Amino acid sequence: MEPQIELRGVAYEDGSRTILENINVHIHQGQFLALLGPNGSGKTTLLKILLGALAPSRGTVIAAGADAGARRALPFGYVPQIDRVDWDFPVTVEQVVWMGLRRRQAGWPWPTRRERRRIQDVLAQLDMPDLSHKPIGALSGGQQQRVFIARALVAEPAVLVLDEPTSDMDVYGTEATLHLLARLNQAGQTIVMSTHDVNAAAAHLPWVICVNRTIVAQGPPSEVYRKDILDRTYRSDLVVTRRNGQVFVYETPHAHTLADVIPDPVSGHAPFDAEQP
Amino acid sequence: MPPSTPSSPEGRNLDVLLEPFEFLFFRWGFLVALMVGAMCGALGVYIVLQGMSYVGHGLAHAVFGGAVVTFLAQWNFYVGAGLWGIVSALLINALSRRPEIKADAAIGIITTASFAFGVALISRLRSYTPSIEAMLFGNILGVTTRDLQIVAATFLAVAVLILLFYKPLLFYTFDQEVARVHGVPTPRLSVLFAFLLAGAIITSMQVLGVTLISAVLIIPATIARFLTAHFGRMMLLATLTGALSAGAGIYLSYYVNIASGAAIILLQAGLFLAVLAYTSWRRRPARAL
Repeated sequence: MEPQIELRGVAYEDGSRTILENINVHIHQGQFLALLGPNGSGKTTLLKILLGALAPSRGTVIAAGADAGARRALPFGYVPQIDRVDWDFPVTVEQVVWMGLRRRQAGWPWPTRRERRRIQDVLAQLDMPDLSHKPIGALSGGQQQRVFIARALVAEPAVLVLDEPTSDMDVYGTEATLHLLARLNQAGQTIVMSTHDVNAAAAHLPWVICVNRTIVAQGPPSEVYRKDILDRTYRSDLVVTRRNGQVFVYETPHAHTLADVIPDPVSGHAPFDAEQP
Repeated sequence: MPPSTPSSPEGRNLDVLLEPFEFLFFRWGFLVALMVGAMCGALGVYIVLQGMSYVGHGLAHAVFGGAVVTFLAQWNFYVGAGLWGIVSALLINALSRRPEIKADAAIGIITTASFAFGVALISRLRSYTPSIEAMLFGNILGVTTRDLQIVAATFLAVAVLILLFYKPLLFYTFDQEVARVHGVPTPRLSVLFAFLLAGAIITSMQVLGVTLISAVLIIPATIARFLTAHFGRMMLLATLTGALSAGAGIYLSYYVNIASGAAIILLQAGLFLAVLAYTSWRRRPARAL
């Protein structure tokens, strides 16, 4: 099967620093995959190369069978990390989603009737049909994330790329976002995301790529989630356990007890009427 | 009620109010102020939302260097200062793209160097001429037919281009990186915006002077931001606030006999304080009963 996107021997250097080297990845139509790795491992750089926002120092990106210029060959929808967004910016949900519609750059300074219908369709698909006139700053964290997914989806991209879509989310927000992405993937959408959340990735994604400057391993979580692979990816001492068909990964970065760090702590004092554990 | 006649008190009041419009210089100055106020108000929205408020101040100072060169070489002011302004804006743009240099530092370096160049040339000249003084502090009395035509052409160009590129400019202002990924030609938009801003600043120098231009770029947009969380309404409010306060400022300067630029800015600053007080009052926490 011919991949939708192929990264062949890709490397990226920033001055004298090597960020990525020897990256070989195939992404197939309809795949849902996550890039895993610690901070500074090159995940975001890899996403930017995929999007065409950065040119690789070496190697090639082949998209839809055409060499280089992946951005030109395939339309991407991109969802940035939401902590980069200026939430005080005076735009409504409809305006944000409208930005994602591709057509000639010059045009009317408002959405056409057809564009409005398309925006409404996408918002309805993401369970937000009544929010189009709300300012983005007035939404909850989960709704804000979905607005940016709507902006990325509105132009019907070939590939949806998300940079840390669950960062700063609580467990329920993470669950809701990943279920939404799984639903989109089941409808045929190719999705590539980066994440720190190894456990959430194991429970929701059929394919993961462990990155730390180079590809450490790639495959389904059931095969890739091995102590040796994850230790090499995170350069840390991790505990990997399996229970009821699920994989759990625990970090053990602190090889000491509290008493080793603070031998004589000042105790807190609960109010007299507080419930005791 | 009998109609107002020139001899009735109402008629005399109307005469006093319309008196400045009897003078051609005032009519032209008023028109120029309306267009400059509207143009700067609209462009100010992009500047304020990008957190680049310092760019108007800096670019006006940079253009001063070019204006002095133009004056000494006896070139056409708009061509010489215009080219100087555009080159300065592009240099700021190119410099601020380097990761080691933040935008404010790039603006500071390019614009103060250019301003210093103008000051050095003047110090060689050893005298302030009225033209140079007008560049620094504005002179609405000196508006010529040619100035009016150039301001009108710039106003039209700014209005048409903002309307035509409304969506890509909005996306570019909101998030440049994502806009680029979504196919918005961000480098070309940077150049377009540099052209628009340089054009607005050069044509505004006649009314406001180098020292006051930044205020008309920032204050109307900030007032509008206080009043709305909708981008389109913010553009409209900033444009109207800029135009109306500039017109009213010129009018005020006639009666109070102060510099037109100062009158416009003081009026805008007063409006800003009023809107600040109003919005603070609206947002006050409800008092516990």
